[in-house]
Amino acid sequence: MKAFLTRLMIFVLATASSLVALAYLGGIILKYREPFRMPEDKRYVFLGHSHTEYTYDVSLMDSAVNLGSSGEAYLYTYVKVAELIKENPGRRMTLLLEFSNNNLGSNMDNWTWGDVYIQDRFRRFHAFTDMSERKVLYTHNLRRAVLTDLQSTFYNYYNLYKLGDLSNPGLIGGFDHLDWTRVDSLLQHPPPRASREAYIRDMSQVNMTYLKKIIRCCRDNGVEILLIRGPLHKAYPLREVEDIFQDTRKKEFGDVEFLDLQDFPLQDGEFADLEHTNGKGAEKVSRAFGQLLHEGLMARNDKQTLINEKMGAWKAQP
Amino acid sequence: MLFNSLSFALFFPVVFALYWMLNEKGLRMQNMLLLLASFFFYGSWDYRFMFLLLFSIGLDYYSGIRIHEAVGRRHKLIWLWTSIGINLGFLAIFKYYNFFAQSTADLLSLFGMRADIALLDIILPVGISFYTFHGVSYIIDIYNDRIVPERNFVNYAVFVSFFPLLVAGPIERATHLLPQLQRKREFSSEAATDGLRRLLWGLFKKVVIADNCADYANQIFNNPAGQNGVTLFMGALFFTFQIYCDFSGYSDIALGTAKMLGIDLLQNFNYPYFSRDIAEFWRRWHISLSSWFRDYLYIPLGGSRGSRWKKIRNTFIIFIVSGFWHGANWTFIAWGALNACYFIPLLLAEKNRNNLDTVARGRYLPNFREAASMLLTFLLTVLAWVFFRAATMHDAFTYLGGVFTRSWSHPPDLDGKAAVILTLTGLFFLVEWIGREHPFALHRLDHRVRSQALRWSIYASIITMIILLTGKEQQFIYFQF
Repeated sequence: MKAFLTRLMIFVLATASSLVALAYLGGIILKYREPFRMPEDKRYVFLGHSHTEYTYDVSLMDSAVNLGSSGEAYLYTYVKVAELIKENPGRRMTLLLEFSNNNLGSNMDNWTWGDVYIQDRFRRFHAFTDMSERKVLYTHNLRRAVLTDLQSTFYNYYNLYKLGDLSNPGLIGGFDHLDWTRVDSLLQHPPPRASREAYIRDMSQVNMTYLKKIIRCCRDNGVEILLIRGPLHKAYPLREVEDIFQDTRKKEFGDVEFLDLQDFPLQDGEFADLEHTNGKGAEKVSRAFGQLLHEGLMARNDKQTLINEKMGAWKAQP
Repeated sequence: MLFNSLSFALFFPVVFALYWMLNEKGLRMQNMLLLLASFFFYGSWDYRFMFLLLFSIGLDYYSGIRIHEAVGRRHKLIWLWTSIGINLGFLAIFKYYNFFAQSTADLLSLFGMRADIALLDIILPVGISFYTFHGVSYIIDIYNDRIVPERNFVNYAVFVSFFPLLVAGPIERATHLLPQLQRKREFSSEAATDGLRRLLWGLFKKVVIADNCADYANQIFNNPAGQNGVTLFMGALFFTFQIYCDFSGYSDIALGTAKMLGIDLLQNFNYPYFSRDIAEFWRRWHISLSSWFRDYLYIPLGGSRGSRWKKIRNTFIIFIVSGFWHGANWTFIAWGALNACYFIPLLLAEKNRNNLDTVARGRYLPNFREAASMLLTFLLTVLAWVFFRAATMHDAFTYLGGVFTRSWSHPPDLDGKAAVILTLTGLFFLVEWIGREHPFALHRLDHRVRSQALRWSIYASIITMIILLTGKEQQFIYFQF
């Protein structure tokens, strides 16, 4: 029995040590590559979920990169931001972080620790995820977090090729465009109305916590951060909880400047659905925003006033 | 508590350590530990059904003694049928009441009559089909004087509720398991190592092959409309791999776990997909169930003796009952009937005992005839599995209709990962082919691969694949039976 247990312990230790060593090595190599190193000519960084991914075509703007990624909760955005700051010490950067009505929604919890999301996001950014973020994932979905932690020992090597860098972000994120529109059918068969009670009751605390963490991290490192909301169709269901969203924003994040493009004038055919622009809409928004940047938006103290002034001009454009 | 869960990974080492620590304290304490562990294991599913299990154990324990002590055949028969009736009665209520009620209502509605038959809203107790059959076989064996009743309640209770086999078999026989529980177990490093190997192999089958194949099988079976013929066939193929690796994987884990505790359980699978005909397939698939039906139903009915009509009748009964055992649905009955149709020609031609040894024994490759036979048998089982998997008869026929009538000219509508899983499954069957003359593919690997470093690398690779390729957690299929 002793001999059996001894051999078993040796095997377990040897295998576990090899896996841990492999994990560390893969993570070290990945961090050494510095995938979040900002190109010299870039200053502005768009971050967020699909609203960011499909709206801001940075090829039409000076000095911007888009690291938006569909389905991204703020925990994973925080991992990106922390690494971005770490790899670019002293760099002048302005982060434009998507903050929309659905960022407070209960589905953000699932985006943080749901099986599919842990398996995808935690695996992507495993090498950059600190213990406090892992603790959140372990606490809420132990099985999947442990499995993904173990699987990432190997996926870090895959990430060496697929993660990309900020000139070609790959798995980190990036602009993508949608070539279709379903607005007509959605208007004919609208989605269910948002429940105000459910919105308040089920507000994602973890997402709010990580938004605060992102803001704190930026301020502690002298990085400018603004919250931005992209265009939303007037029939978007969560417009019904706009007052709750605004109250929460002012109460929790009132000290962070908020750029609101919710009412950017777009035709139905320039939306893919009620909350995402398609390629045509993205081009319009990106050109307009690029122009704003060019006209010194970021130097203004009252940025939203300039945006509001420009709305009229944008409305007039074909 | 699933075998591939963190809770089992914590539960079993504790039980293993305590079990062997108690070895010197005596058999009674060891068996008591097994009993407590088994009830804890079962209770983790649903504590309410522990009482049903305890009742079933108590009923058969007492009935066995009464049958043995009864004077006269009549009294023995009374106790026999009382026990069987109550056991099967519970099974009938929990598992089949709603099926019969609904089928009766459907039949009456065919004649324009309406029947408002109340359906029961109850959960099927996990493992009821398995532990019921343990008890029934025990009672019948006592009646037939094959064994004497177990007087030690703890021993008998462990026989029925032994946690490795409690929820999904193998269906043990008292003649095989009880004697092992009645004598002292000695720790054997070789047996424990082999048990651990079997456990690892079972985990690989379940987690890597079965769960990943399940993803694709579910995708295709849940949305067959609009899929081409190739994709539908691939869906059936994925399910064929899933059900084998799921169920045999579970059996391997059960046998491996038991072996580590010094107990041998009945082999439940013997490489069924390498069978050369359907008769051989049924000697190799879910062996404990098919041998149970053979010994307690088929032979008492007359078996393959008697007239041609009697042989056909008995064969149909066995296969249909076997199908029905799996679930209260016409699809399982159809699956059983289809297998009967496969089997009967062999029986009537007296070719059902042609292939008794392992295919290509002592050779690396099968000859052409063996390969063709295996392929044909395999395809016949793939076809039959469609009924097993489909939710309704209509779905099964629609699915099969799609396989044979829709286009085969385009590649299957599957993602890149499907190719990886298929390749892995192919390699898995290659390993099984190499190990087909052993109880399981990695059996006694220390005799076949002399280098410890190489063996450890193999184990580490299997563990790595389990970690890397753990798919979406899927319930073991046979838990629903």
